[in-house]
Amino acid sequence: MPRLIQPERGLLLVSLTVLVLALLPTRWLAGWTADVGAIVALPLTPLRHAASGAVAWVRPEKFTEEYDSGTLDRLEVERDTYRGRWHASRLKVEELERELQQLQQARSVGGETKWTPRTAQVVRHNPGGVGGVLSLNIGSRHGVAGGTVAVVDGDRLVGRVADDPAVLTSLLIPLGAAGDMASQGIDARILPFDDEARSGERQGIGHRIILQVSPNSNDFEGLVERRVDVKVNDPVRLGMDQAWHQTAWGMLIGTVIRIEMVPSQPLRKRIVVRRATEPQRLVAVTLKIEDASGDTRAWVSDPEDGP
Amino acid sequence: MRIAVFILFLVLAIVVDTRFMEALRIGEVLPGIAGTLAVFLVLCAQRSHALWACLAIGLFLDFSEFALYDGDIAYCLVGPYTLGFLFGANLILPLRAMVFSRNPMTFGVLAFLFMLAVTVVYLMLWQIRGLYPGSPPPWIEASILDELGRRVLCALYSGLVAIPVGWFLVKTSPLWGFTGSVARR
Repeated sequence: MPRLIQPERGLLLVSLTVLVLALLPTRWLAGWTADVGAIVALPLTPLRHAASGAVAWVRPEKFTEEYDSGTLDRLEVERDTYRGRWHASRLKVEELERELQQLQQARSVGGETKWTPRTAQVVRHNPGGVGGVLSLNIGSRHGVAGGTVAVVDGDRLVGRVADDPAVLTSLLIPLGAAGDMASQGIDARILPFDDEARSGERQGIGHRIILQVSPNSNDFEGLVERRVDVKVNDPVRLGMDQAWHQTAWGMLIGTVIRIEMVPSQPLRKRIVVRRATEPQRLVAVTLKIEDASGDTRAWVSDPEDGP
Repeated sequence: MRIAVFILFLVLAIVVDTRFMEALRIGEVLPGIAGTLAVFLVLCAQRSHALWACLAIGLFLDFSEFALYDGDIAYCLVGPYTLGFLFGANLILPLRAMVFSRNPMTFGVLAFLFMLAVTVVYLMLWQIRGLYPGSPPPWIEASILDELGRRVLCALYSGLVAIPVGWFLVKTSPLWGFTGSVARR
């Protein structure tokens, strides 16, 4: 009995269909393709999780101190908590001072947000690509929502979760990813390196800079007035940028690696900032999952409390 | 060709390409083994089986790559890898009568050529889509030529990795159940 569709003809039909799909307007693809991608990823996630472990084994992260894993986890959570709160508090203090100076009515800026740290494994990167969206092995069932902030080493900003995370997985948009609007015109602060090294005392909040992705590298760059005192290795942190959740404010974006004069703008200088993380290389990130209760007090779970 | 064996190797190739290859990264250059698997199938399987298999590999890769629409909506574009793998397979198919398919060096050279062909289609489709509003291509290089240069290096690296991977695939060929003269060469 002759086949209804010959394999060669079927292949041609499928190829034409794929070509049409490839040229459809993006808004027609935006919903369902991510869902199909999540379904495809679902059976692969355990294997990718194992592959993440293999990556960590082949290229281990180096620790200078020898702690057992439980102590290390607890210390990391504590460090995440207090560094994040400290920097968020500094920004809030600055805001309040400015308002007092201008004799305006005080308003809450929400610098302290109730959140819970949660570790997520990076289980996928774009094949052959850099700077693309990553997949994480936890999703909305674990409290992850669109915009949830991801950090490593306590305060190094990695990125944020894309809208509409799946139940068991989510997509992480790294800082500076191709097409990421929140990485365009980042409201950041350059902090003097000496201030960063000291702790426990009132510090300045640095100089404001608007960062753009540098066109020929993975770095960021921005302009500041020439009189501003900036040095190489000064840390650059996220300011109160409305494109990011409050839990990202104060997190480290990177460090200044180069300061250049701008011939066309003699009163300004260009600051080049090297990112603090390489998202594709990370095995795991810490998600700062915001509590939905609406309580605005700063709060973080204590791992010693237990369930 | 046994479908179950193909699915097993397909899953392994996708997992390795989308996670494990990070361990072999040199700067911004990553290798891939999906192209080597495709070359192996083109060399050893029947023509129609090889083409369908390449389409499946490309489709899985497309659904493993996410780009951003309007800044924060992730989506998969069906086409760049699917059509790229079909194009690559059609380029390699006429060559299979001229090469020694059991020689690992063959895999090195053909995987490089195959990935170059995939790159051409991939970049062309994404460049066209870059004209659509709110749909930038998923790479961070400043221009398409920079990305082409990076991907050519990736193809070269994939060709190097294809030598041991190809040797391994040839060793597994009894599992695949290939038939015809192509499988024996």
